[in-house]
Amino acid sequence: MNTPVLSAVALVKRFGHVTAVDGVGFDLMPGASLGIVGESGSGKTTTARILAGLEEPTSGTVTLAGETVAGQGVTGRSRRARLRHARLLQMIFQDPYGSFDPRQTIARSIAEPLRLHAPGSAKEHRARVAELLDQVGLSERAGRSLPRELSGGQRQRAAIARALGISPRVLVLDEAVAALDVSIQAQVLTLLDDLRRETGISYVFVSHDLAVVRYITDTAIVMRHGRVVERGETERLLRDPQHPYTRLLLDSIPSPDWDLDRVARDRRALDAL
Amino acid sequence: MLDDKPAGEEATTRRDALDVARLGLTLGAGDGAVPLLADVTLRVGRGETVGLVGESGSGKSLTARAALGMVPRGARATGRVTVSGVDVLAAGRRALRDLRRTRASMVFQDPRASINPVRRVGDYLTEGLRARGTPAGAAAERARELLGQVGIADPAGAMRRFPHQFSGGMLQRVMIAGALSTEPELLLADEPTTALDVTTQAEVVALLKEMQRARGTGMLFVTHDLDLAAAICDRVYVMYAGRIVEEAPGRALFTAPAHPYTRALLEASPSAHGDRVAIKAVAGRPRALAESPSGCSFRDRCPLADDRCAEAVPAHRTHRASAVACLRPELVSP
Repeated sequence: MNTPVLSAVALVKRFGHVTAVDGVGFDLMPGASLGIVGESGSGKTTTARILAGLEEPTSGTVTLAGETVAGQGVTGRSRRARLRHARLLQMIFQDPYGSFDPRQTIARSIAEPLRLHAPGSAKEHRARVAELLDQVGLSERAGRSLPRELSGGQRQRAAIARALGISPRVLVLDEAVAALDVSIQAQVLTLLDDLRRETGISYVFVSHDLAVVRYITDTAIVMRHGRVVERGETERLLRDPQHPYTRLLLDSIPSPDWDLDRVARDRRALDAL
Repeated sequence: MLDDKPAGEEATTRRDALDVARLGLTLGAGDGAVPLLADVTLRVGRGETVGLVGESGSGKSLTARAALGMVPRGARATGRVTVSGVDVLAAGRRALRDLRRTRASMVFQDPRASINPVRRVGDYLTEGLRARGTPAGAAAERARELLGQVGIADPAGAMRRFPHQFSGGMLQRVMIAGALSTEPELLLADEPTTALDVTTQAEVVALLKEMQRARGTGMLFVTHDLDLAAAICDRVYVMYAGRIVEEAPGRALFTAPAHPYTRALLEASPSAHGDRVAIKAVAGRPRALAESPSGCSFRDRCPLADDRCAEAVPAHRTHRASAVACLRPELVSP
């Protein structure tokens, strides 16, 4: 159990002259949950896309379940290699609407990765889809619906069900609850928490929201301008932030004791770096 | 007749920036009529910051827009909306245009969707002033001054730039400068910081508060973020399914919510501060007025509901610091 299921080492991604990701690295243990916290332009989403194989890093490596899946020596990946990557790691996006075929029922969409990755009869697949819908708290009726007939929260549950179908080792969630209403967000967060406890799956949870990251992760990295500025146990980061940027992020979150002057002081401390 | 004048003046200084009384909104007529808002009553005093909080479909944006006479096509409004003395629902197009130009402004969530992308920022900012008869030179001077106040470096250069040359946070500052350029009595801010990064949000909110305080503008701050509302508002109204279910001072709402929905929202929100506490999900999903059950709209998701809750929409009653539409607020916060 002491080998990481996912490792990123010195990841760099350049788009032309812009360095979006600059030396990012971390280890994710089986069953663990890692947060990547940052604002727009921090490089958090590019990092997530590299992990999922949607972007190729300019340099650095990604190792998934003991196999290097991105970086040096990995060129022109075969269909087989890509399938294996997807089988082990699935990604969930902020807007599930864009990731479903609008003309296909939810149940058919959930069955698709099964047909691709898991051999079995149509009947077996149907049974598995029913099980998955139940696991994420969706009714059979929701399964027969088209994506547009479901609410945002239901669609995000469906996206989770589809990702879980092939039992991946890692789930990368990019702002997966950011577009949901508070009461629905809580439902999806508790669902994700329960699933991790039941299945031992690992999460990379990408978010701008420290409160949500606190709830769903054990450790976290804080990114700014493509670099990791602070890393550690999530609870420690929140209670005792060391980097001025982490402090600014934390103090910027509204609360009944919100002190906007303190936010301004944090900003000056950061600019003075 | 002479005696009436001072009394009239006093009434003018005391009148609210916004007064909404039993506002109802219905789309269509007859059997197919869809109710959107029911019995919305709220007020914003001069210089006061008032929060309007709710999830999707709660009607918070509809309420804010109705305050400036913007009702959806085909919708029928009932009740009364008064903005600095003008009866908005009865006002004609000219009176409304005049009102929006001078006494009431609005800031929206996405600044890029509410500014003309092919016109320079300077034109946008001087437009309102010019329409009020301010000479061009003075209007430009005033616009530069405002840009400086909202923290834009090089105001003169900014006047010549186009919206796409600004970041989201900077453009929202421009919008705030524009909204306050006419010294309005009322500012309607509809999720003005939702599209911004959290550190930018803090800066924009600080700016909004400071500008509003300095001018004595009344602000209705519409948001889905209960923490944000409680942090900056003097009073907060919580909406659910097209109705106001609770009104309380910002702080009291946090420490002693009186409506089961308010408490459920607080318990569902994870917090980055204080001790780590488990979050509690609320069953079901937020509803619109048209799909809500009879009686109390929240009763099908409420852990405290019983048969009495189905009988009628609960009237607002006072419980501690709140005015709450619930039959047993003492069970929510004793």
